[in-house]
Amino acid sequence: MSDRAPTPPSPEFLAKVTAAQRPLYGLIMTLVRRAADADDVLQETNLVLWRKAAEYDSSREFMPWALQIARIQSRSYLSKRQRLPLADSDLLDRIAAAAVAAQGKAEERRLALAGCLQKLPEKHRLLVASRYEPGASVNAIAAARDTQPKAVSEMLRRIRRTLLDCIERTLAAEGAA
Amino acid sequence: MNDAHDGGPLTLADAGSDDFLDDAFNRLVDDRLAAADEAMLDAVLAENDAALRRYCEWMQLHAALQWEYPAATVLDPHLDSAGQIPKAEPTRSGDDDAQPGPGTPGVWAAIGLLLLAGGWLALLRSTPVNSRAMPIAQVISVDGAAAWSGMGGLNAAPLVVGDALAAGCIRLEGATALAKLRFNDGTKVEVVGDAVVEFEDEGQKKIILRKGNMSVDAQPQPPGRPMLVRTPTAELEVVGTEFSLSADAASTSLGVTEGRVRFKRVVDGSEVDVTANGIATASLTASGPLRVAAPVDPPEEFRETFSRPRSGPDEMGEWLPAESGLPARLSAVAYVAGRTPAGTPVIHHGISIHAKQPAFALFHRDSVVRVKVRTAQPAEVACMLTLQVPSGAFGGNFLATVDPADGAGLPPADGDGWRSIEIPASALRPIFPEFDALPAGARVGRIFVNSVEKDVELEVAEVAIGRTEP
Repeated sequence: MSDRAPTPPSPEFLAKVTAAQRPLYGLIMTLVRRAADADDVLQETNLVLWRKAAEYDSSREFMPWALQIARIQSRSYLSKRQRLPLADSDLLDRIAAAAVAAQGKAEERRLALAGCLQKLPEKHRLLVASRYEPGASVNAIAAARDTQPKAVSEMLRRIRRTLLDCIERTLAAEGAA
Repeated sequence: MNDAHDGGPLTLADAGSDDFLDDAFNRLVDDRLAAADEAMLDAVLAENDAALRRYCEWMQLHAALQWEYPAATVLDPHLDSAGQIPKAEPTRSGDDDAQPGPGTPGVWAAIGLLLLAGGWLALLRSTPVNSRAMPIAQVISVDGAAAWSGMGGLNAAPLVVGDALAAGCIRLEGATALAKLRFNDGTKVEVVGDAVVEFEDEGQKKIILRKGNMSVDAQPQPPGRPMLVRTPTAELEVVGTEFSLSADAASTSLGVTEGRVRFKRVVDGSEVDVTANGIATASLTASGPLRVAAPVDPPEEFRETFSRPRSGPDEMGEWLPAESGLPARLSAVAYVAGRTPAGTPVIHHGISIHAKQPAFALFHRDSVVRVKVRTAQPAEVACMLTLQVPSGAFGGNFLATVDPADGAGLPPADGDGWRSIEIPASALRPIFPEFDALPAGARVGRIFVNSVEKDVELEVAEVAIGRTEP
């Protein structure tokens, strides 16, 4: 970072940025699709939020403003890398709108996911842990297990589907309670 | 997107069905969707609102798992019978490292800097363990790139001999990194190579070896409070003993030198007691009973010509098949070999092969390493062996470098540029002062061949270990 840092934001502002990391990351991942890219865009988004801290009107909701900045940063990132047509089409805006709408239940979904992970058979939980360890890949897991990447990916597909169904059931049950 | 996709291309005829979408989303998040299929998927998303909503669910799950993966490694004892977790996790009052509130601007400034520097990853994705800032261990030896960070990822700092460490996480980068700690009760823990270890001691020692090699010389532990060690695939209970552990995401190997360790395989909960000179391995693909075995001597000789792709843990190199008169080989890849004192990564380009149990070969004073290599331009080539002792514990890293420019009597390269190099054991130099001689019963666990801080398109067609006088 060669730019001079502006006056540090207030502790309250930083608390909001910190609390927003998961939703920001969720939106960015939905837009740029790859974890390494999402990491980069989140960092750039944090940098922009830091720079724009003085512009933030604390009487307005923080999250929509931060998500909007994340959306802009994602589009810019995709354009720079010529990830077309995604960066160029209105599909990105439609995906962003759907993802932002989904943020309303993000915390409930997170809590449900934590519970659903615990309900998985142990070997499935460990496969999830292996897959999402920083730097991990399906190919590496397959090599470590002497199996084909396709088999690992198929197992992950079933686990992910199970988790999504479990989350929906959990939210439905909570809604009915 | 990756063109090495699974299972054939997607078919437009199925587009929009739930199975089609799940298959496509799954390939997408695993980076296994061909570019053409991704374009087809985008076309479906542009036309189909239900597909778009489903896409968002998948990607949000994928993003959430990037954060929640540590939660998948353990069963949470705080869950109720329905698997629910409390909505708010209580903060331990009085903890020195409790999460800061809005009234602690210094800490928030540090968090802000972490956010900007990318440190958010460690700060926010980790699963903090209750701990205090009391020193519980001292650093007694360090070599290479080693850093400690407190619970929650705060205060990352290079390890320095003499440092008193509170509970936290040690990360080592590069095969030539080493850190040795002594806990307040005298228990010694030695970590080598690429490794991540978390530790705490609030009256009971708890160590998590995320990956890497670790040797422990444990003092007798307090009654009823054995040392607990966890890896992605195993759990150990230690009362007082000496053992070594090697772990990655898929398996854990334990070798006990002295005493007894209770060893539990996570995947099915089976347990065994491993006593002196016993070894045991727990993996994710367990199919039979968990057994204790005596160490098996590897062969005297080893030869790898890469005729097939290898699948050892943590191996490096791009496999290239035999073609156009060229032999099958591994092509060097870039990797972080360590860091400078300023923290700048030191990049090497090389290959490594890593033995599953047992090791590749025994290694003696009259052993010789043979490698067949070629480079795009004359360059120094290094060969490093990671040795083990019979229990599987780390026995030292030993390195030799060969520079064609110094005219050291190397055989000439053939027409395709291949050169066979012989490195006698006497030419290998120890990396770590603590391991300055071949250990008794030495065996080769891992072999690295690399160029030094320069990419010279190194390729390795053969690695062999033998003896000068069989």
